[in-house]
Amino acid sequence: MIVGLPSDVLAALIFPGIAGILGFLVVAIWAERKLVARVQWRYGPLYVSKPLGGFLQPIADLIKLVFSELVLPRHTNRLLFALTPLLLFVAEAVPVVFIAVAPGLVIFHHSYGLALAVVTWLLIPVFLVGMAWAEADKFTYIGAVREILLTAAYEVPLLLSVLAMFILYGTADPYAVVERQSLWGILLNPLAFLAFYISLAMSTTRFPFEIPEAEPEVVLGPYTEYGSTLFILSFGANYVKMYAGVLLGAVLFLGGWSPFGDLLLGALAVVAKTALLTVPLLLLRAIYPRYRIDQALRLGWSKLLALAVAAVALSAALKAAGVA
Amino acid sequence: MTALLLFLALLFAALAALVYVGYRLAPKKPSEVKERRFEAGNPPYGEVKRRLVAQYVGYIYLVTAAEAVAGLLIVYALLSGGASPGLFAALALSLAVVAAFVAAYLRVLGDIKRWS
Repeated sequence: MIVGLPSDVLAALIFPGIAGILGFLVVAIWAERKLVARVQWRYGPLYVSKPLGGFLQPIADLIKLVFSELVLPRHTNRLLFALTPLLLFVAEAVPVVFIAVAPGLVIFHHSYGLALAVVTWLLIPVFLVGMAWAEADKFTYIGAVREILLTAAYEVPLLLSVLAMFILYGTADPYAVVERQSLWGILLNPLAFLAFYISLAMSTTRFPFEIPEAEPEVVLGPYTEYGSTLFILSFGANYVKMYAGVLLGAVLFLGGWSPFGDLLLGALAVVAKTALLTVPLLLLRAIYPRYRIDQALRLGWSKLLALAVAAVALSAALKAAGVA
Repeated sequence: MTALLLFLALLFAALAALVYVGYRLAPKKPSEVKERRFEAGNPPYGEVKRRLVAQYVGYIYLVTAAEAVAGLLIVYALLSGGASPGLFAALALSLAVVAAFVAAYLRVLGDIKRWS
């Protein structure tokens, strides 16, 4: 019991749950715009809450979109058109349920929790493709096909990088995984971290993998037909996936809440490590050009796959040698 | 389980409320053009469905097979506690088969001259 609430309910309501997700959305969107602007010698968001560096700009954008007319195109199944962005957003949040962010702070504890987080993460593209299908538009159709192909590029390397860490830890229990990192996973197996991180960038369609929604080619890909609040949900869902991915990365590779055993300090440590993993993903937008889909597929099945296989081999060797 | 259900229900309810509030409060001025399919400023034409780009289907076959192998290896690794001679043998064999298959067909899959 913490502040009169069971710890799992607290996790559901505050961190990593609903408040954490919404907070991440605001901070990540603001930070991305500011960081990219800084790289490009611009100010970025500034005039809304000037003393805070334009921090409230995403909130202002949210209010503006809420008061924009919600158009439901007549050629679509209107129920599905309105429902699928909600389902997508919730689906993107499901992996968070299984990730512990401090001692006792997890929404649903399961001894295979981190494996379940990965499995639910890999199911998300199904919802995105469903949404694009419900929109019934040429651009959303192309975007959905690109999403499927991009998924084909990163799924196996992602699974192998996670496998490499499960071999080292011998468990997928989030608490046990953190306890067994006397040396952080990133130091034990940097190859697995690299494969995981590149797969994460692909999964969240960060540059240079921003292929399904490439603006100059397919308008906004799977999000083309949406406006108003449905645009917030469909487009914002991608940041929720990033949130789940970096939380998983912090627990698997950066020692989770260690070195703290306290709930509050542990949670703050996870927040700091999550920020550490998020900033480079945001900066990618300012640095890289975009791959073609055939290039992304080739990368996924050549260098990235080789890296992930090498990571598994390294973990097996470390385990056999008794190092981990 | 209570916290899990609470999380999912609250999240869904909050998102649905956001959509409903926007729908009720935002000014409405419907028009025929607004409700058309978006076609980059042009009148909609033809069917949405298109031919699937078939040169990529090989990758889909590949991921379907290799992902199942990776998934089974994860199950094996977790059930064996991450260390057993059987796991290492399964890892070596499975990954060697995947690597050999990919090496044999990647050149064909990546040949953009086969696009047409």
